[in-house]
This record gives sequence, structure tokens and C-alpha cells, in this order.
Amino acid sequence: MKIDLEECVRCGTCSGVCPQNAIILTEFEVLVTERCNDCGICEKVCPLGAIEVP
Amino acid sequence: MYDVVIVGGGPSGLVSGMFSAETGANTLIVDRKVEIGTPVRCAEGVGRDPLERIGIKPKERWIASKIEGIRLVSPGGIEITAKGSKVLKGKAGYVLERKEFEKYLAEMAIRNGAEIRLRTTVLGAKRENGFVNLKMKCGGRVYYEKARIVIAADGIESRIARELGLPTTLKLKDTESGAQYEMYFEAEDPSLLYFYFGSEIAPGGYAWIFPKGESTANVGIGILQVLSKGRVLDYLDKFLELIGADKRKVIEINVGGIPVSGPIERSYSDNLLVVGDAARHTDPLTGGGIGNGMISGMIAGKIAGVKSQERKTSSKDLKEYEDKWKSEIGKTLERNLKIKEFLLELKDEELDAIAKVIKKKGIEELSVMGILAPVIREHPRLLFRIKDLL
Repeated sequence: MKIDLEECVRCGTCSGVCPQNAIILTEFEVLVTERCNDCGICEKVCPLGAIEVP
Repeated sequence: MYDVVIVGGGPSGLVSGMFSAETGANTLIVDRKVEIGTPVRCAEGVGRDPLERIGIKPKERWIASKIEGIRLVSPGGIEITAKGSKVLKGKAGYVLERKEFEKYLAEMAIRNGAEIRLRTTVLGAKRENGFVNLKMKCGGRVYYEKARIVIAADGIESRIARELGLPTTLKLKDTESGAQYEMYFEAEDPSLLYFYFGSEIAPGGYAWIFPKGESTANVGIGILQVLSKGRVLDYLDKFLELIGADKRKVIEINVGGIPVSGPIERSYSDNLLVVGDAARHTDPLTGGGIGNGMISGMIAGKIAGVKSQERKTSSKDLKEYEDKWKSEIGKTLERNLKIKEFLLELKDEELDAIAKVIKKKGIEELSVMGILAPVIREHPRLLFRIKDLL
């Protein structure tokens, strides 16, 4: 999955729905750990449409 | 080694810190952001009751406006207004200046002895020999910090509880996407909170206007993305058109998620308590999170503070937390979850029918049941499912 950091405001909603608990937000970055399996749930919930899953 | 480390410096975490430090426990609050209180991600409404319960007296510095009533607008445009002492019955509330409010809570926590560490993300958490080892990141530096008890107050993300084995993952159907503009807007009556309903306006949620004085307001919307045809900001812009608000007068944009699942199955385990939005203590009907978060934070802070110093940090020792928050806010959360599920199934026409009855009978009291009671009396059959909840 890819996050457009210019759209993202680090609100954390993606992290809350991630079944793998794979998304870690810091003040400046969004870290996606290797647990991510591109399930696409984060893409559906992102309020800004900043996430794209292939 | 800290007695208590609180992950997340929002209202729930800060109040946890206030009460934990007050017991004499060595308390640390960490937050990934560079500033307490921002970004807001919230409509900033809070009842007077939770403030009183945690013992905080209202200060001019963090109150944007006093709420004296509400207006509900049905999908078909039926307006119901309830205002004044007859319906308030002492239940008034406030629209906060949340940035100021959270800084105030932080000051109280610090005064009680808590430490605060900003721009610090907890990357991971592991239990070791009766404490939790937290992997922290501050800027480029990664280091470890130990805690006898961790209070997970990390909001919608609720990652820390999961790192330590408690499931908190939200389902899509239980996650509202929220967007809000703070903007120059002159509400017709700045002492009212405005709520707009309808599948076109806000599918699976509602839109709101929370005035912050004469000429500023939080204008926002919460929708269930699974029921929606577009993104939340597009719905918000459409709502602005409906109320005649001008997008060129926006002074702040807030975006965020709101859990509406009802509380997590289990909110404690060895060395861990979960509070506020992280525990999904957000009211599933209204989406309000500050009041319940502060109450669960107060309970968790007191218990964590005392138990960590007594070295009683096992799951069994901490169960008291769950019993206590359930007796304070559990029943209302359960009831409002059922009412939300019921309302979600109603069509716009049915909501209009209910609105007509409320308008005719009037709102008895500014509470969920004060609004619904007249409807239930008039149409017991239509609403027999709600009646079962009473």
C-alpha cells in the first residue's frame, strides 16, 4: 500500500482499522511494517483518500 | 523505570496522568505530536457533567461558548429546537477551545508531578518480568523505557493495546470518517448546537454546527464511508452549501476517524489499561469522546498509580478498572450503541416521521432519552425495539 504524504494529515484512522496493526504514525512519517498484506481496508476508510492499494 | 507510562496526550491520557501522578506514582505521558492540543480532530463539545465528575471547574480560557440548547434537522428539513432551563435541567455543556483545554489539563498533570515527552512515538511494547519495555522513537533516536503499568490512550489508532495482546481493531462499519472546518460563520442562534440528519447529507452519521461564539463555528460531518458515495470532505462542502456557509472563510481544517463500535471486549490485562477512544469509549450514537475519555482516564489513572506502587500489576489486580468504568459509563454506552444500530436501519422518511412526533410533543430534556421518550409513548409499536432497551 502507498500513502500520499502530501494528502495525509496523520489522523491515524488507517492504523485503527488495520487488521495487522501494521501502520505506525509519528509526527512526520507513516511507517508501514512488513506485517502489511495489502488487504486494502485502510484505503476504504481514509478520510482524505490518501491511500492507494494496488 | 516509570510506575506508569501513558501513551497519548489527548484528554483521556492527560487526565490519566493527572490522577496517576496525584497518587505519588512516577508518571510519564508521551505523545507523538509536537504540541499538546493540536490538531483538534473533534467538534469540541463536552457536557458539564464529566467535567464535574473529574473535578475541573470551567475556566474562561478554554470555553468558547456555553450551550443552552439544540436544534435537530431531519432529512426532510423538519426543525426541532429545544432551549432553556426547562430542557437543560442542569445538563448544560460547553464548546471548548480544545487547544487551550488540553494545555490546561497538561498543566494540571505536571503540577501533580507527571512528566510529558512530546514528538515521541512508541514503536512497540513487550512484557518482560513484570513490566513493559517500550520502544520509543524521538526524531531519529530510538531508545527504550520501562513501565510497571502502561495506560494506552492512543486514540483511534489504539495500536499499543494490540501490541500487548488486546484486540481493538475497528471494523469499517464501526468507523466514522470525520471532517470539520472551523470557520467564520454567524449561526442564527450561537447558543445552540445544530445537528443535521439524512442519507444525502451524512450517510450513517450526521452533520453539525457547533458555534464558538457569535461569528465562529465548527462546521463538520461524520459519515460511514461504507455507506457513502464519495469522500467526507466532498460531503462537508455540500453541507456548507446547504447551510449557506462560505468555504473561503475556513480558518482550520480537521480530519479524523471516530470509533462507534462500543467499548472493546476487554480493557485491561497484565500491566495494561486502555482508556478513551483507544478503548472505543466514544459514545457510539453521538460520536462524543471527550467526556467518557476523561472519566475512564480518571479511573485508570487512580488505579494504575496505586497498583503500580504496590507492585500489583497483574491482570487480576487491574480488573477493578473495568468494573469501575462499566458502572460509570457502561450502561449508557450499551444503550446508545443499540439506539445507533436501530437508527441506522431507518430510511429518511422514517426519520422524518419520528421528527414530526418529536416536534409535536416537544423535547422533555436534553438527553437521548429526553428526545426519544415522547416518540416511544406516541408510537410504541414503531419503536418497540427501543422500548425494549429502557
